[in-house]
Order: sequence, then C-alpha cells, then structure tokens
Amino acid sequence: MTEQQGEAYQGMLSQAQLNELRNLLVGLSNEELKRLQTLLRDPHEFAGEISPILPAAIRKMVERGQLSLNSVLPMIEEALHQGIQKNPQRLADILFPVMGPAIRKAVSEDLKRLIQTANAGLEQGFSPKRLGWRLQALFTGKSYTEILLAKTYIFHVSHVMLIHRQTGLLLHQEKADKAVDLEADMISSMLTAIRDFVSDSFNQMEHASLDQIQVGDMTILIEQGPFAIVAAVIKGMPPADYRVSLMEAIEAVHFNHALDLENFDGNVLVYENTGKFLKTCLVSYRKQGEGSKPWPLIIILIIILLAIGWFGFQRYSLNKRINRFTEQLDALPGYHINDIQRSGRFFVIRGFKDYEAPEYKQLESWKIHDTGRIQLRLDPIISLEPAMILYRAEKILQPLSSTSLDYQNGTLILKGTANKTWFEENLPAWTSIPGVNDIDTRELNVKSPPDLSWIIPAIERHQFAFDVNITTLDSVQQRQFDSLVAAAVLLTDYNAQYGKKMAIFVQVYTNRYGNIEANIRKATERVDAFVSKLKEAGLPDDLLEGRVLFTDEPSSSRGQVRTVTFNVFNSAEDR
Amino acid sequence: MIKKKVVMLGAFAVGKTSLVQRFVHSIFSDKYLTTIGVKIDQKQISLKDHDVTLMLWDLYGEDDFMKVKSNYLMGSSGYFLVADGTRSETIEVAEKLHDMAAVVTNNAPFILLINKSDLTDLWEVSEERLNGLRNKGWNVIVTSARNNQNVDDAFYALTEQMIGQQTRPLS
Repeated sequence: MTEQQGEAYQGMLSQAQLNELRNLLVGLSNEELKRLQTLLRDPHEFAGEISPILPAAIRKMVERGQLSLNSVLPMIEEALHQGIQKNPQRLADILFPVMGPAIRKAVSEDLKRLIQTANAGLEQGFSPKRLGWRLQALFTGKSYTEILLAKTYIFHVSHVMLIHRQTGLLLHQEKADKAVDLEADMISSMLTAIRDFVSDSFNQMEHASLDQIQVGDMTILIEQGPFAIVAAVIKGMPPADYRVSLMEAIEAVHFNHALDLENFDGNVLVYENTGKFLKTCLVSYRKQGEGSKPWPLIIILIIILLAIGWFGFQRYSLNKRINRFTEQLDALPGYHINDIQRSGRFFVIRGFKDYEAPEYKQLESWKIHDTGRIQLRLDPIISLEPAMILYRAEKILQPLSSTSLDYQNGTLILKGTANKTWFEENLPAWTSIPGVNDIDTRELNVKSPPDLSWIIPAIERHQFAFDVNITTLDSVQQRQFDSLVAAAVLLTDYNAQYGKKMAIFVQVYTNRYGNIEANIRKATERVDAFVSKLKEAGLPDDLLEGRVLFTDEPSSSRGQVRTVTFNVFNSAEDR
Repeated sequence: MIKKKVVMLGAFAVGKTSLVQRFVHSIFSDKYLTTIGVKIDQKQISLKDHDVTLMLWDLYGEDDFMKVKSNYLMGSSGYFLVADGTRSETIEVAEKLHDMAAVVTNNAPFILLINKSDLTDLWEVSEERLNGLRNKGWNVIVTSARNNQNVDDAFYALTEQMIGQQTRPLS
C-alpha cells in the first residue's frame, strides 16, 4: 500500500478505526511501532535496549554450541595485543594494584626458600648467645634464622614522604616522634631531580628507577608507583622485608587516590589522609643490648638474690648455733638430748635433765641473741652417769684442791692429800650420793693439819746479811737458804689443806744516807734477786712478795742495811 | 595548599640563578647546578585565594638547547624563559628552549624574562623585537636581578597564570 493510497484510506476511516485495524494486522500500537523504529535507526538506543539480554543470549549460545570460547578468544587476544602495543604503560598502571601483591607473594616464597637454605647453614654456628636464640626460637615457634636476623640489625625510620612522581612535589609526609624537621619539599624535588639525572645520564629505560640512596649509615629507600613514589629516610640497615611495607603503602595510596594522582593539579590537601598508610612505614628496631640496660630489673634481681643469700646465711648460721648449743648441752653432766625439732620459728629440744645438773645458761653457746627461739622440754631424772655422780660428789663433799675424785663401777675413788678435819667431817656424806655404793681412800694421804705456831718462826728466824755489791750466797748462807725453802713448803701445804692464803714478805733494808733513790734502786735489785732464787727453788709466785724497808722505820727496828729478812702474813687479810 | 613546579630555562649566564636568589632564600649550594644540572629552591607565596608553594627548578644554562635535560621539565606547571638583554642571541636560545618546553610541559604557561636591565650601556635588545615577541602572544618582562626590578612581579605573574587567576597587577 502506497502512501497516497494510505492517505486516501485515511480519509475514509477515522483514526480510531485505523488503530484498531493496525492492532488486528500487526498486534502493535502506533507508539510501540514508533519506538521500534527509533531503536532500529539509533544504534546507541538499540545497544542500550539489548545490553541486559546480551550476556544471557551469549551464555545460551555457548550452551547450545552455537558459539565457542575458542572462536572469541582470538579477538580478545588481538584486542589486548593491540592495546599493549599502543600504550603498555596504561596496562601496567591498570594492573599495578593487582601485580604488586602477586609479585610480592612470589618474592616472599623465594625469600622463604632462601631463609630455609640460610637456616641450614647457620644451624652449624654455636655460641652461648646463639644457644639462647635457639631456645627463643624453640619457645616462640619462629625459625632460628628469623630470630638471628632480627637480633643482628638495627634501624630507625625517621621520615616517610609521599612524592608525586612526575612533578617531584611532596604530597604528604610523616615523621617519627622526636625526629628533626626536614626540608621535605626540597628533598622531594631533589630526589626526583637525582632520579631524573641518573636515568638521563645512564640512558636508563623509563621503567628503570632509583630505588636506594645510601649516605654513611643513612639510607633512603624509594618505592615507585605509577604516579607517586614513597621515600623512607632510614638510619641504619633495614631488613629486606621492610621494602614490602613501602610497597603496601604505595599500593594503598594508588588504590585510594588513583584519579587524584593521575589528574594532579598541585592541590596536596587531598592527600592528608594518606598519613595512615605512611605511618605503617615508620618503624624502628633496636638491637638487643644496644640500648640502655634494664637497670631497675637488674637491681631488683640483685636485691632478691642478696635477700635470699642473707636469709640463707641467717638460717645456716642459726642452725649451726642451735646444733652447737645442743651438743654442749648434751655434754653437760646430767643432760641427755633426744632430738631437736623445728616448730614454726622455734626449735624444740627434747630430752632429760638431772634435778641437780649444772645450769645450762652458763654455756658459752647459750649466749646467742636468738635464744628466745629455743624451747627446752627436759624431763627431770636422777642421772647415774659417771660425770653427774662426780659433779654431785664434788658438790656434796667439797674436797680440797689437793684431793681428786674419780668414779668407777659404783665406787668413788679419792686421791691426793686431805687434812684430817675434812676427812672426818665431810667425807661421811658420800652415802647420800646416788649411784655411789662404796668409796676407795687407799690413795688418799690424810695429814694432820700443819701448825702455824711453829711454821712462822721457822721462816722468820732466817736472815741473810750481804756485803756491798754482793748478792751471791756463801756456803753457810746456802744451807740457811735450803732450810728456809723447806719451811716455806710447809706454809704452802698449810694453804692447800686449809684453803688459806698465807704469804711471805721478803724484806731488804737500806738507809737514807747519800743518794736515797740510788739506795732504793740497789735494795730493790737485791730483793728481786732473792725472790727469784726462792722461786727457782720451787716456791709458788703467790707465796712471795718482796719489799724494801728503811732501817730507821719503826717496823724495821731489827733490820740492818743489806740484810734480807722474812715476815709471814695473811695475804687475804693483812694486805 | 597548592604546590607548583616551575622551571627556569635559559642560555648560559643570563641570570637565572640570580633571579631565583633574589626571589627566595636558598639553602642548597649552587654546586648542584654543575653536578647534576639543576638546583632547587622553594618559595611560598600568598595569592588572594590561595597559598602556593613554588618549587623552582633552576636548570644549568646551556647555549646549546639540545643539552638541556628534558626530564627536568616533566611535570612543570609553568616555566620562565630567561634571556640576557645585553646578548641578543640568548633570546634565540630562549625561543628554541620554548619549542622544546612547550611540548614536554603540554603548553604550560611561561614568561620570557629579559634580564640585566641595569646594564643600559650594553643593552642590545630593541623594543621592536620585544614587541614582535609580544605579538606572538608571549608575556615578556624586562627584569634586573641586581636592582630587583620586576623580579617579584614576574614570579607572581606566572603563579597567577598557573593558578588561572589574576590577583596582583604588574607595576
């Protein structure tokens, strides 16, 4: 039907009738037909219309075998190939966030293998310090090499800078606490200039980059991204895996600011929030032993050790004192110690004690400051041990010093000399001594008591007259001297038997003519010489006492110059 | 905060470093110019609406423009072409440098500075020649680093061009 015919029919039919007729013929309204016409004429509209169903259609075609991946693959490969040839950097930029982790993973695997190899070699090394590291590895579950590496390096990252790659402008920087402020803008630009200079001077490819600058013990590590670089200023030698931190930081910056970086117009405010990525690179590691020593801990340990030592010594010393006291106590007559037990702070000593046993507090070992910690639990007994019987006998009989006591098999044996008075008055008390069944006095010499009435004259009748400067005895004087000694021995016996302290003044006379001091000196020499002779003859020291008298003194009326006389006196009373 | 990279280009001994020193306080030694061919200085200036930090890349002057390291121009937001008014041939060097810089910087804003205006007795560049350059659309400013003539104005002018606004008229 031509257009003219249509217009003719249109004139005969109303619009509503025509629409109804169209519906009957094609099943579509006029508006729907117009929309289909627009779709066919406009490719963009048409593409938009079929785009939702196209993936499903392709999937259906692949399922039905009408379309194979092998037939599409060459076209995709060709498109990629041409795209890479045209602008390889573009693809590298696109893949950068993906390639970084992939490459890092591969490098990490290689490093792991390298560490395992190194570990095998390092296993051979041995020293006390390394032994400690091995123990640490054992307890922490880390590899020995990992700990070895960690212990042998020290580094400190002071600044991390984010730099726009093309302009060299500083986008953001982070610095460690207490790090000095750097001219970061200038340094960023200079780093870029140096990189360009190196690249230009050595005709490096565009992708080649300056990764590290080292000056003395300072290192600047640079990690490159497509649009920005991150530079870390490091004091010391960082571990190899520190670069991974830089990689992660630059990847994170690119991931979050890809468009900002690509269209950089000098506005650096948008990079303020990159600080969180850069801060992860601000790390430091202090080698063990390099820093200050843990003095508080060391001092506390020393104090603890000293306290332990002091308490240990005190305990040892106390035990030693207690044991010594116990031994001495056990050795005392009338004591028998069974055991010692510790009860809290106290030492409980158990045993037996004779009711007449000597007082233990006289013991030297008792004189210790911690006797308050000793508890004596001694049951009373009557001891029949020989030492206790003798102790009791001494106490009851009170023998003279010239009489000795012994005990054997129930018999008390008396030896030495005793005077008749003691023998008759004290000795009968032996029957009251427990354990003594008999006495033996066969070796006891019982003497009648010496009489002072004839001993004293026998001594005092002697006198020795000497010429000037003569001190030796002539033969006659020697006989007199022996007689004097014999009489003095009797006085000694008297003292022993009666417990007295009778003594003899050995007197020399002088006068006051001439030099009195010289006279006294000569007289003193003479009396000393005579006393020495008497001592040499066997008389005891406490029996003799020399003195010088003047002839004109009343007490020395019978004396003459250079004459030696003797006077008996009671040294306990007359002195 | 806005930061811009600006490059000083020009023949040998036209006064690039003197202009920069007049404008900023340098901390880096001039020896970098002869070692790596560039010395970098920093100047912070305030425009009406912006604080701008200029990173000034002072390139070592080469009469042979082919020796200029084009890498140093990369990323520049603007550049100065510096010529010596007492040596007219330095303007020709500046023109050739401009050809290269325009490509590398993707037609970034620039200003031609005819320096050493204090040396009037030795002045070689005629006003006609300068007008000819101006007629090409170039912004040409006659400066003297020694007398501090138009130095600050030149830097402000380029900065304003780079920022795309005009806040300070030339004197």
